[in-house]
Formats: sequence, C-alpha cells, structure tokens
Amino acid sequence: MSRQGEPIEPVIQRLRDGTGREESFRTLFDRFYWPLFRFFERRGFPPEECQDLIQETFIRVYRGIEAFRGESRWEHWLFRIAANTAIKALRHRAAVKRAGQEVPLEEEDEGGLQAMAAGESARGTAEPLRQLLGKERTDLLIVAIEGLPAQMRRCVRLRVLQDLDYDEIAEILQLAPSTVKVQLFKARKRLQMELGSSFADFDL
Amino acid sequence: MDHAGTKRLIAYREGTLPEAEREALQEHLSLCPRCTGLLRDLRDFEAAAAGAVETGPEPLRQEAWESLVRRLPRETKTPPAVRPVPTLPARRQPVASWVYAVAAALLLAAVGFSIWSAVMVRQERRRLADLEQRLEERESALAEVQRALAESERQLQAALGRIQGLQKDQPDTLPDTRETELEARIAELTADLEKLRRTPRTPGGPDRITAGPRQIDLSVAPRFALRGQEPGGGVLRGGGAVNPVRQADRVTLAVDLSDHPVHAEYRFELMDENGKVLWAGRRPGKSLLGDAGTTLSVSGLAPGSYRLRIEGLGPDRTELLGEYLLEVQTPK
Repeated sequence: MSRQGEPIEPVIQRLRDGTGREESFRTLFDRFYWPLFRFFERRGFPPEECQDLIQETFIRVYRGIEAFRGESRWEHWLFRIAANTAIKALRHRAAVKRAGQEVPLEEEDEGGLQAMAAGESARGTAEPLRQLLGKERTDLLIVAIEGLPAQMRRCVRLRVLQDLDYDEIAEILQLAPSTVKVQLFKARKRLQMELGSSFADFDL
Repeated sequence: MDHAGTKRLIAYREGTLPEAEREALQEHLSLCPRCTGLLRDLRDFEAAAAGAVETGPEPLRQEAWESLVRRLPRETKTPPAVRPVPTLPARRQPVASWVYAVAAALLLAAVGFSIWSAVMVRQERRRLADLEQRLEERESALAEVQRALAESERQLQAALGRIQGLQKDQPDTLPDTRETELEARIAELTADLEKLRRTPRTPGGPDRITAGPRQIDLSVAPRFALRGQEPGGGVLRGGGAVNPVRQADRVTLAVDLSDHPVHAEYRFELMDENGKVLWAGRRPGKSLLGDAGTTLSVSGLAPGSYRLRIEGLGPDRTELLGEYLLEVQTPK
C-alpha cells in the first residue's frame, strides 16, 4: 500500500502506461477509499451504498485513466468522477421512486447539480430569517443588503442567509478572515444607518 | 446563474477561472447553500486525500476491493495496448559491397545464436520437468502428512469421546488403571499430533499447503428461485443465480440480480434451519452501471442447513424473490 504523503503521480503514470497496472490500481484504491467513503457519507448515502458508489467511481477511473492528462490535480479529477457518480445515484433513486423505471444516464456534470436542488435565491434562502424577523423586516433587510457593494454584500449574505462563520466565509470567497471581519463590521454600520432604529440591535 | 457544476468549482479552487467568471461564481455562492456545500465537500476531500481523514474498519475496505475486482469488466483487465510507433518510409540508397559482407556476417551470427538458443531451451525444458516432478513428490508427501494428521486427530477425538462416555455413565466407578491408561494414550496421541505438525518441510519446491482452517463444502439448492434465472431444480454448484464460492472457513455467495424486476431495495436474510435469522442485510436497487449482482460473505458457518431469503422491497410492498437451501459440510 502506498504511504500517505508519498507522491501519487508515479502511481498514476504506471497505471496509465500499463506497467504494474493492477498494483497501481490497488494503491490508488487503498489511498482514496476512505476520502471517498467520507464524501459519499456526507452526501447522505448509507454505508452499504457508499461501498457501491466507491466501486463505481473506481470502475470509471479504471476505464477513463487514459483521459487524465495531469492538467488538473489528480484529487480534483477523482472528486469530479465521484460527484458525478453521486448525482447519477440520486437521479436513479428519484426515478425509481417516481415510476419504478430506469432513467437515461447520459447527461452529467454541468447540469447535474441542478438535479440536486431547485434554484436558490436570496428570497428562497431567507425563509428562516423571515420566521425570525417577520416578513416586513426581512424584506427591508434584503433590499438593503442588495444595495451594498459587491464584496460586502456577498459576505453579509453568507453570514445572514447561510449562517456561516468568518473563517468559512473567508475560505469560500478566498479572502483573509480579517477582511471578512472588516467588511461585516462596515456592513452592520451601513445597514443600521439605512434601516433605522428597528435594526439597532442587528448584529453580524 | 445556474448551479456552479463541479468543473467550475474545481477551477475556482485551482484559481484558473477568468476574473468575470470568478466574480459571477462568488455572487452565486453567496446565494446558494447547495453550491457552497459542494465547495466545502471539495475542500474536505482535498484535506482527506492529503491524509486528514477518519478511517474505519479495514475489512470494509478489503471487502470493497474484492467486490470491485469481481465487477471490473474482463475486457478492461488487460493493460492498454501499446500504440505502434509510426515508422519513417525507408529511403532507397545504393548498396555497397561491404554491406553484403556485413549482412553475411550477421546472418552467420544469427544462425549460431539460433542453435545456441535451441540448446538452451532444451536444457531449460529438462530443468522445468525436473522441477515439476519434485513438486508432485512434495505435494504427495504433504498429502500423506495431512492424512496422518487427520487420523491422529480422529483417534484423539475417539479417545476423548470414550472418556466422556465413561465419565457420564459411571462417573464414580471408573477404575484408576483404565483412566491412567486412557490419559497415557491421549498424551501419546497429542505428542504424535505435535510431531506431525512440526514435521520439517521437504527441501525444494514451494510450500503449497499452509496450516489454516479447513475447507468447507457448500451446496445451494433453490426452493423458490429468482424469477426466470434457475435451471430446473437440483443442486446448484455454480451457474445459477446464486453462485457459491468455496473458501477456507468462509462462504461467499455471489447473487446475480441482473434479470429480475426493479425494486427500490433488496433484503437478504440468512437463517438457520429453525428460522432464526443469523444475518440480514440490505442493498439498494439496480446499480447504475448495470447490475453485476451482489456478494454475501459469511464466515464461521458451522456444518448444517441454512436458508437464504432474497426479498425485493418497494414503497408499498415486499416481494419474495427467492429462497435457497444451503448445505454446509466439511469434506470427508
């Protein structure tokens, strides 16, 4: 088994050019089994289905390794295959539930995530907030947020609508945590000024 | 904006998105918990791939690997074909007389090499035949040792049985001399057994038989077969919907679900002859790459009769798809 931290590129190269193909494949399997298991588990699949999905992911890797040219990182290439496998499984599950029939499995990836959720919007995701603040105040707040500068607006949305902490917001928007903190501080001042006394206790 | 798509999220993480697309994606992410969730999964997967991952029981991974190897289509098992290197068209050039001399010398060398190769091949074949003969001898010697070992074990068991019988029937009246005699016999047999176990290996040839659990024999007979899949009755030893695979002290059943009605889920139950459920498991409905079946692996089954039930589960009904009788026995 390949040790964790050992470069994976030579293993992939051996798998690609067919020298020690089975052994290289086993090395990849051993090394990425648990990362894939945790990924599928977090996507809501039960353990036995995770096992199936890992196998399907590796079958696709085995068949498609020729297409991996090292232009992107290996783990990203693998993640994409795993995400597509998860999407197919969810579609299949939905189709079986709907009609007890098979579904065509051709289209993948770009439109794939749309199958996982209906479209989202500020209004759609603001439902918990609406329950907290009431409809009128929430609508006022959303209009005011939409008027903020782009970076500030995105920070506020992630904080208020998705309830993320500063570090997570920083990682998602690829900013320094201190920048996020400053943006949210400024945003609170602006929103309190714009919305008046009814938002005096509003915090971010 | 539509949902981001894994490809775009990866490009975002790798920093290869053009500025305008990057801005649009950040705008979308701020509104879409689904895409931020996937981005966080991607981040976690990167960390896990770098080693920061909580692992679980090792047998689970081993089981998945074995199952994967069985599922790999045969045609993909062969290594990719080596692409032929295109050759440049040969250019015609005037042939000098020294070229003929060199060609003749090469030809002579080639003939000499062929003769030498033939001799070497013959020698190698002879050596191989010798090795094969030695291997056969070694195997028969080992089989003999095993037979003797089995016989000693049988005698030991018989002696133990006799003692137990005597103790049961006449626990207080067993004469001391008889007891001593039996104990001496047991000690003798135990020593024999140990000696046989420690028998040194015959030199030469690989060790083909290792000490370990006994093989078991397994037969599967359908009571209610999976629809349209079984041949007409009788005992199955491979080729039906449920294919038993004999392994040391372990029963593996490969169940072929490829030709059956679609169900949302399948339930498997292994029962003893009194109907007590020893093991139960579920798997989801048809696999996405076509259904190569499912594999049940049960270890430590004592000799006896068992039943394997396979049921298809739907949202509002359960259908009995098949029921099989399993006979597990140790070989004579």
